[in-house]
Amino acid sequence: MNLSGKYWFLILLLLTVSCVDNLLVISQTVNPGSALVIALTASLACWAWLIKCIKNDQQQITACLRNPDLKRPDFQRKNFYGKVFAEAIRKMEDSDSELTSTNQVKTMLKARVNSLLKKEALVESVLDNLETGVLIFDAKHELEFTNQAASAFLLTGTDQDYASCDSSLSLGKPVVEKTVIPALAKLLAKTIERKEATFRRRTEFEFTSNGVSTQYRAVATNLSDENQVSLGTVVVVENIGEETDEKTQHAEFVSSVAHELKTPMSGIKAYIEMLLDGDCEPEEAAELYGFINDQIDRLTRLVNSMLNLARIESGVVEIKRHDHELNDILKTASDVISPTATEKEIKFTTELSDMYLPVHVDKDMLGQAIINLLSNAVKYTPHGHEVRLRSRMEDTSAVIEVRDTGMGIPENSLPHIFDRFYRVPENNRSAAGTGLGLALVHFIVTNVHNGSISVQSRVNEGTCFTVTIPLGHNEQKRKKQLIPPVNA
Amino acid sequence: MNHLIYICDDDSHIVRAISMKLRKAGFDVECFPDGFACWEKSQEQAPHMIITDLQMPRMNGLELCEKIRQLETTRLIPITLLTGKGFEFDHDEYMQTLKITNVMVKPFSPKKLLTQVQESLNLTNDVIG
Repeated sequence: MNLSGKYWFLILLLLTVSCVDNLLVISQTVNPGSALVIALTASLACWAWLIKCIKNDQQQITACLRNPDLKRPDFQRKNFYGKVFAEAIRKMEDSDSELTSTNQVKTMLKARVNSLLKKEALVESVLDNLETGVLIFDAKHELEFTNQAASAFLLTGTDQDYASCDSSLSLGKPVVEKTVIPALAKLLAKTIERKEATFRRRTEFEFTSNGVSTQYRAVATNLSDENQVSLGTVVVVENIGEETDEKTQHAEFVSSVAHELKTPMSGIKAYIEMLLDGDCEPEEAAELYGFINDQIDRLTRLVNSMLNLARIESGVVEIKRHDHELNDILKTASDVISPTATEKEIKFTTELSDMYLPVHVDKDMLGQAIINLLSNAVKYTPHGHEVRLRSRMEDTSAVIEVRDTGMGIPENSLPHIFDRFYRVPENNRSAAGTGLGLALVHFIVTNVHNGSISVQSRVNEGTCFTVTIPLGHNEQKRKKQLIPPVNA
Repeated sequence: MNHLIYICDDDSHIVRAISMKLRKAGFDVECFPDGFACWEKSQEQAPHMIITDLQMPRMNGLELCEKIRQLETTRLIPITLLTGKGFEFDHDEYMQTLKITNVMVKPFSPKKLLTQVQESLNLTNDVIG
């Protein structure tokens, strides 16, 4: 029963009691004093009942509030405060669900911020570990970020002062000018000013950092969002020193190849033209045919050597390293050279080590390297002189020595003798050569076999090439690794 | 008196072919294996013309030209430069700075070289004369 119902019931009850009371007084059944007592008693009883009802309702609500679950109560109709209480609970439930969703959003945001921070740290660490310099400028051309590699291109305090007072560009892009080195500032200024024309610009410049001067390539790109609103500019600076060196080396190589190929071709062309024009006597013509033949042989040798070197260097030729005894390879090489030496009346001796020299090598390649060294020795040693091939063991290496008593190499030529196409000028006319033989030997010994090669020479006294190859068979090494050490 | 021409190349076959051609055309020819030898001889006796290779040991063709242009006796003589290099060699620049008369790219025709030698000597004689 609700609040108003209880009031009406109480008023009706009191009216009924007063009516009954009046009737009793009128009918003189009871005297007025008794009637008053009855009326007072009845109204007191009614008030007591009402107060009790309210107290019950209060207790019910208190119990409800003490309930930790705070469920929506089902006593709206019976309880005095039911409606108000239910409304309050509904409001509380609403705000509670709002709070829950706010907390959820807060947690989600926290997680998102954490993951973004982690990502940012990761990206920063990746950028810092790059060898490429990265500089990011915001839409106001202020430096937003640089990685470590780019720090060299930033201006320090004194440079900034200098840049600010001595620059024609500083009026247009003062911020950029004061921040980075002039080459980059110029690139940035152009990229920013002419963003309508192209969103990306590049430049190559030379820059000295820590006393080392290197070539760099910088690419500046304007950044914008999907609505074409400018976000800033990123500059990526790459060290292209090696690339430039490689290009230079390649150009030098091509130039050398051209020179080496064109020289015999020039001879052939000149001789043939003279023969065609009938410029020479029959004896001279026979001589010219001989020269042409020689030049063609020279071209063939040159092309073969170049191809061999290129194939080995580029890895087209498969390197087949197996276990061998070094002296066997040296014997085979000496057998190849021996007839040429005998023909030229050169005393060719081999002094091979009595010890077993185990090596893990490509037999054919190392053999070719030794043949090249021996053939050079025979070529540049005059008649009646001596060429000697020796082998010995030294610590963990096998040492091969090719010594001659020939014309020797001048001191200023020694640093260059392993360069491609280098020929000792003083000895150039003594024998035909391509200038590639020693380059091939050097590559085979050092790159293919992890060995080393050195040369000692004195003009007119002779030359000694010393090759060292690491000792040991691969199979033994493997066995050693497999057998565990036995404890005594 | 015949014109004296110095030929300078480290390749004996080229030297032989040019000298044969020029001798048959009536020139006096002297051959050198490198720039240095040619320069030494030029100080003693100035030639009427020099034909030199570009890449040579000891002293290359350009160094030789520079030295030759510094010598009073050879300051104005015609020089023909033989080269195996193509685009990478800036002909015009050296032809201007070192006053090189002709540049011939290898492989070249001895006949054309002879024509150029004859033209250069006549032209230079006219100018000097």
